[in-house]
Amino acid sequence: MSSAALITQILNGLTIGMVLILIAAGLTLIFGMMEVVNFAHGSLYMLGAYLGLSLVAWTGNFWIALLVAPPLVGIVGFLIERFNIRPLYGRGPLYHLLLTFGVGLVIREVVYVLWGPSVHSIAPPAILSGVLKLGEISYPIYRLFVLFFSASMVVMIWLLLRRSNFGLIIRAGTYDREMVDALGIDVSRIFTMVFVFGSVLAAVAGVVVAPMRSVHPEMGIEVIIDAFIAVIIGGMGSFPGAVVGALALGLAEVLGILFIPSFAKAAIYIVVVIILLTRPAGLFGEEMG
Amino acid sequence: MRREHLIEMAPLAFLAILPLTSPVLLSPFYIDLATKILILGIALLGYDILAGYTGLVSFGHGMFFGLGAYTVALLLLNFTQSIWLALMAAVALTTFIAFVVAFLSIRTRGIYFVLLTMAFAQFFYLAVYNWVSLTGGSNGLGGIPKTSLFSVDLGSVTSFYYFTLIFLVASYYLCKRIVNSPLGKVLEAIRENEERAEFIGYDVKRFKRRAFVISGFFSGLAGALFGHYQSYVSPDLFHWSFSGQFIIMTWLGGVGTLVGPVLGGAVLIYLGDLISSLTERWLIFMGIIYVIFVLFSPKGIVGLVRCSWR
Repeated sequence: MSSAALITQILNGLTIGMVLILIAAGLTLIFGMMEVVNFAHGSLYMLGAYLGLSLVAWTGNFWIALLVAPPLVGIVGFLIERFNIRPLYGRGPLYHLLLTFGVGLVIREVVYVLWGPSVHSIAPPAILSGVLKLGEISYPIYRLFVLFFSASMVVMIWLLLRRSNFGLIIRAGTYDREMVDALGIDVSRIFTMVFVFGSVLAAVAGVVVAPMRSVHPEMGIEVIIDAFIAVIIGGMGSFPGAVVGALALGLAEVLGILFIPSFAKAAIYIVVVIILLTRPAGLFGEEMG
Repeated sequence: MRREHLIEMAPLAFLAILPLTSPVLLSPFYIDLATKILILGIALLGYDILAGYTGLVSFGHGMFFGLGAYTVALLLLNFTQSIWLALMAAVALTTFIAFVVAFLSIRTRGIYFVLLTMAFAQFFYLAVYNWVSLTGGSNGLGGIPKTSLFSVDLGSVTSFYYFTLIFLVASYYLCKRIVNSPLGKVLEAIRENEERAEFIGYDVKRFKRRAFVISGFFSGLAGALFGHYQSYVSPDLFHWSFSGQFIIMTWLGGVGTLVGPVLGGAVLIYLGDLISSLTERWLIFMGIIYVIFVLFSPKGIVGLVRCSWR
């Protein structure tokens, strides 16, 4: 294989991985703080893509969609946390899994009803359409935008977690929730904020992915499994873990397809099984319960 | 005790005479629906021992159902015409795989266990999907021949209905025996407080493995019956959304009650058919009902009924 094709594939893998971080970030932060496994997270990503689709159709402007759709999904996330997740605190983490599984199902069906079963796509904004040529390599400009946009989002999340008070509380909450509560911080309010934050990130991922991949009602289900794998590899509850896990998965997927086509995906699950068995807390996670 | 027997006998009598009402009262279509409910009921009984009585939620039991179905399909297509041989081989293989999966996944706890069962199921899903020469890939396997038993044609819907009903009743009494046995009590102890059960001196992991293998056995049996009945199998049986249906049915009907999950399966399949004739997106209603039950009635429909009786 030519090196140009290889570089193209690696760029693809990094792009997929970067977008996946945005989805996995919410999943892992929500788990880290609340021990809630949010099965509906993929559906929020899908909802972001569909709202982006409609907003582009109404306004004809991609940037408005990117700005408006995520807060709308954030509101949905708020409602889910407030009326579905919150009543179940104290009933054990498995109940949240059962519940969010149902919520995700309902969101998927609502999408079917509102937007229909057909596959849609959004045209990338005019400035970002076209192909960048660099020697032998030619690469769609929009994909490069997605790569850099997601990467800068990831850096921003990292700064938020490391440098802000909000991030400090989240990290402390992941470490010892009760102590944070005892120090006089309203943990349940922080829970809601983290949940909304995660929902917004998933929606951002949904909107930026829409012009690159197709928008369809099964996309939430497809992505949630990948996001879970990324989070498991990195360690549930760890943001750096999610970053490493998502990038590794993105690269493994494209490179696996190149070298061992038909069993590539099945092989990934063997890796997941081995990690869960030997180091259930993942590569970066703290050992928990 | 008397009353309890009556409660058990009434549905059994109902199930026994159901096909006789066809085609006068019920169209054969409903016998077909009822057969599917019975088949899934067998899997759900076993699943309840794991999820309801031991407190281990598996997100991958579709893999055992699928393995049973594919084994029967491959055997009937290529090797044998004997339903017994096919069923026994399918159940034996599934139970063995269940033991391997249990051996590996029982080491983990809580959410990691759930994700591990899911990963195993996805692995099988993709393996079946990609091993086209054996499994037919995404097309699945069709044209699985029907068999006959003591010169009874199992291809007929009514006779297969009774064939399945016998298995369901036997499974129900077997599961009830298990639940009421010392083994069942230990499983419940593990569900209520794992540390304490371990402190008393029980080998918790071994008991959890047993529960897992038992549930795998019943899922495999149900899948094997399904493969013969549908004469078509597809990789969707391994997909986690099918495994997820086990969860929805179990919690809708009433987890940890044996009857509940079977009832939940019946409601989901029957209502699904009823609503789907009105609207294609029937799952939206089932999803909302399921969410309401998880939120407000942890013991599902059975819990509601029990509450209103008291």
